[in-house]
Amino acid sequence: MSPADADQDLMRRIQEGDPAAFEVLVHAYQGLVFSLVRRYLGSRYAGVDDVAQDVFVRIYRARHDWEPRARVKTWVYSITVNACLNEIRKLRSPKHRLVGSFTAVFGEGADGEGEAARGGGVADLHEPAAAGEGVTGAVAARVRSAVDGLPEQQRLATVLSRFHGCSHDEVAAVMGTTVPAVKSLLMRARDRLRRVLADLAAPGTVPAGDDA
Amino acid sequence: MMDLDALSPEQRAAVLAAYRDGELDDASAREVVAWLDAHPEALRALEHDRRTWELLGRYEDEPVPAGFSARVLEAAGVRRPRLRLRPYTLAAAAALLLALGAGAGLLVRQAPETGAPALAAIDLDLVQHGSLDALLSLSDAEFEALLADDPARLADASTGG
Repeated sequence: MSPADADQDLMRRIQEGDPAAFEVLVHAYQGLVFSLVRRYLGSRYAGVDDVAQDVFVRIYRARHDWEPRARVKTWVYSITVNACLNEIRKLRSPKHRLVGSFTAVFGEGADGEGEAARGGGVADLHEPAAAGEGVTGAVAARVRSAVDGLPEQQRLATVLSRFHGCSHDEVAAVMGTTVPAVKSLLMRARDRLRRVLADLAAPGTVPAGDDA
Repeated sequence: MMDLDALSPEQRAAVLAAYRDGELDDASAREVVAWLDAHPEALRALEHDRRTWELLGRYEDEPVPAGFSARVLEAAGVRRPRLRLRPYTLAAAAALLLALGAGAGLLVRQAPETGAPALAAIDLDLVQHGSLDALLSLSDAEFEALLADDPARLADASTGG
């Protein structure tokens, strides 16, 4: 049985009221959900745990809405993105706008060009590594800040594509948009990241790669 | 036959992105490779882009916090919440029950002489059922009398005197 088939079977059992099946689903997807929430809302956002928990509560409540033709992974990602958007809307409400950390976490609006124009987020890109992290930690901090500093839609497309291995079709399905729109978002995100991380990734500089 | 030089910068960028993502057929990919050989600046830009994308791998995942799945199952109503008592809370509760038990024994012995059947009944209930409900049902005056270990005062308080 393929992983996708196993997921389908799991969802059927959850719909039939098998609590053990839901527990298996939580264990199988908690890492992915946590990773997506953290990178989408920003690595410094303190509410990641609560949002990730809310995702699974939403999944359980919506278990009867799932249809067998839908890929479970895409469905879970869609619910995760909706929970994150809900959190972003909440934090953008007038009540929360007073919170100083808001702009630090979410920076600019969905269009994404405001921050660059204001110069906001540049300081984040020079965020010092924690004491003792060394060069490797400093590079990781720069990369985290660069991703955090991407406009919201570009960040989501980048996270799904780069960190979750989603195809353009899958990213489009999760984001509720078209494949050309996803390609455009990714092109802009890559262009921005290339500029922001130029000193680290340009040929002839510190070797890039996953081997931190 | 694809002529990349004839394309607009946006179109050319899209073709190069498709090449980078492995979306071109073999013939088109070979044409792009030939074009890149003649345009080292574009080749460097493509390499820079690839290295930047790889660099994102430095943004590592953090482990899921301990107890996360248990909290999720409780929040979803799939698993009943566990009663979480800290050790000192448990020790305090045990000490209170012991004190109440001792006090109850004393009062039961004294009850016929002091006429405090209400307290005896309450404390027997505490001892027999180990419940704090009876204690919570006491009025302030009854509770103070119990703490003072004063059966006569408790009898007064119980009868509303």
